Amino acid sequence: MSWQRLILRVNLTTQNCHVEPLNMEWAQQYLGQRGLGSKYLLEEMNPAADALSAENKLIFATGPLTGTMASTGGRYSVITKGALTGAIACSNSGGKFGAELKLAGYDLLIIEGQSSRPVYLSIENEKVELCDASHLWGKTVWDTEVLLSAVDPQLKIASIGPAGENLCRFACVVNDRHRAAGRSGVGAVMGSKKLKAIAVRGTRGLHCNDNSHACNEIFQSINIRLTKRQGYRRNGTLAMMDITNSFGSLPTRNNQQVQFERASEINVEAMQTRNRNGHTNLVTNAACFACTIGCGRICKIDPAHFSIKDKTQYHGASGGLEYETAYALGAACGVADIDAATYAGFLCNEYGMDPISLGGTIAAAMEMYETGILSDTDTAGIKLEFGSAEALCEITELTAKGKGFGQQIAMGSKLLTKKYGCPELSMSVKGQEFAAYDGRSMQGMGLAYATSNRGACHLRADPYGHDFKSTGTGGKAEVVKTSQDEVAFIDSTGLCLFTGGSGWSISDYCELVNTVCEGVWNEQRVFETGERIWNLERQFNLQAGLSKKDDTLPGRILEEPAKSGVGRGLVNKLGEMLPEYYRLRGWDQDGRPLQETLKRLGL
Amino acid sequence: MKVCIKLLGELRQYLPECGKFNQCKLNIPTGSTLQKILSQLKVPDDQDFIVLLNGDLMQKQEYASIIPGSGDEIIIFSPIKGG
Repeated sequence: MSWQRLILRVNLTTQNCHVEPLNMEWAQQYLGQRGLGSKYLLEEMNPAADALSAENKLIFATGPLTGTMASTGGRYSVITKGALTGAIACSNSGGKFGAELKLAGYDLLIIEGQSSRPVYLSIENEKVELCDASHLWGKTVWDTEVLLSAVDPQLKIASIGPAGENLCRFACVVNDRHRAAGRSGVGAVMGSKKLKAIAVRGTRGLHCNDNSHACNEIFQSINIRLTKRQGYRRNGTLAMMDITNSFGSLPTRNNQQVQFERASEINVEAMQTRNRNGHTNLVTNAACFACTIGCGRICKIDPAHFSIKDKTQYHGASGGLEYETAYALGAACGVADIDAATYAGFLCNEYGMDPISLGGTIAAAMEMYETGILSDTDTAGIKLEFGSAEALCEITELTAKGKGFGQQIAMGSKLLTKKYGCPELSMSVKGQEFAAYDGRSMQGMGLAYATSNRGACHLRADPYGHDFKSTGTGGKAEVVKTSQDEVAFIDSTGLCLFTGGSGWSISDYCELVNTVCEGVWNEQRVFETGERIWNLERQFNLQAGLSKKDDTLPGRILEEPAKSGVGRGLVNKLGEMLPEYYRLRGWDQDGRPLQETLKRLGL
Repeated sequence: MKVCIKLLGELRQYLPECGKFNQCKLNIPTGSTLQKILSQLKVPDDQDFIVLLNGDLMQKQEYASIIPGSGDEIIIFSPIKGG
């Protein structure tokens, strides 16, 4: 069946690699990927340990559907204690790396300890080797992929760039050039272990089901249900820009506004139409392993644009703006220059940084600069003004390379604003910067941010439909709790969350999981498994020292009414929603799971 | 009279031929309800969508009684998930 039933464990301190059986009892309880990886993390490490210490573990986890021909079945997650947040981190990526790891024969790869010198992990099925990476240290993700691919062009590679090596708090792990396990600083953890890359080749195949013909028919019949909605393929996630801007939930200039008056310069139309030089940003769309949605954008920067005029290496096509990137490197910084945002996005992929946290931190720094908290001396002369595309590009380069004021940006907005005595300017939860939705017109999203186990996140719950229909607080706790559980399950399958927005329902996920996994997976078990995962993550955070005080939002969202849009005049009413949320979760009033809840979930 | 229609995201496929990219000026008889205007746009009945009239969120039960004025802006979108 589609668990390979094997774990590859690599101890970087002893430089020892060995294979061990997967705990199948846990696989039945936590399924795979996010759930199973989190279970191993909590069982094996002290959550109070420093994220950048040898005690932290770094787990690459696939799901039972990773590597199958179920649409989008190529996902993997990186699970660790987050360098940005100090909370449990689970960062999900597509591309082809996850499927290759699974086809090499492993459900999970557990990295522990710390190497004394740079190394990379080479995996060719059962042949596993830690190799010297001194020639790769200091190289970008893109150069690392080129150098390792020279050995074998079929290798699939996940690596960190200089940002991860420099322990930038929001460094990510990048695979396949521009897919990333982006959030919470998982790349900094990898950098602290001096693990530069994982290069994998897998040809051991996958035994999905005893009846392979029936299995293929099931995959095909379910995959075709995703063809009903073509929005992601046609427009990418950037389609959200016009929606949130019209609604009044597009965080602008560090959440000072909720609508960006120049959003039309960084939206789908701007990406798809020719500029005055006759250049079009969008080249084509792209899909990850087995994906039939194809939301990815492949883009080119106008060669005449100031950012790349003398840098021919950026004249080719590469991973372009998603909605989150366009928000963070656009509206959040007041920048209405699609090529500048694309360039900053390219640098994030090349050097290994999370664009959401980068943009959120630059936005905080811009507000600090405009209010006089930061001076030209602090920024070494960079005019960090909202709307400055030049400043955005320059500070992104410095952050990527760990130079100048970029070293301060690399701390993330929480530590940066704390250092300068203005913590209220960090638009973050648990140290992680907001995604592209303002929690005043979208009350449910505010609750989702506040309660997300990995810090502010738009992918840990699904309150979108409810929020766009109602700005009140009624029903939000229920929607957020239920969708958190659903998402936790989907994140554990090896599939992409966007299948849910493209036509699949719970019954489709059940049918797919039943096709490849032992046991009976029905709707009740989906939600119970998701709830178990959510509570397990909560236990990790409580043991790490987080508590109810961390389930909150910045004062700006709780006290400053939105100035425009559907939610004008509103603040987020977290105080109304949180007690109900805790009650629905079966937690006490301090946000601790009750004994009966833990017992019911087998925790 | 004319109203400004914006069809966002995947709904832009239902934009009338007179439109450009995702918006158009639509000629409608004076006194047309929101319901009537929506039916003119041919967005399928089973498509879940949200309507903003001049920036205000409209509730479904209001569609049959609200009468937009000349020059009003009607934004229609389907609730997608971001990423």
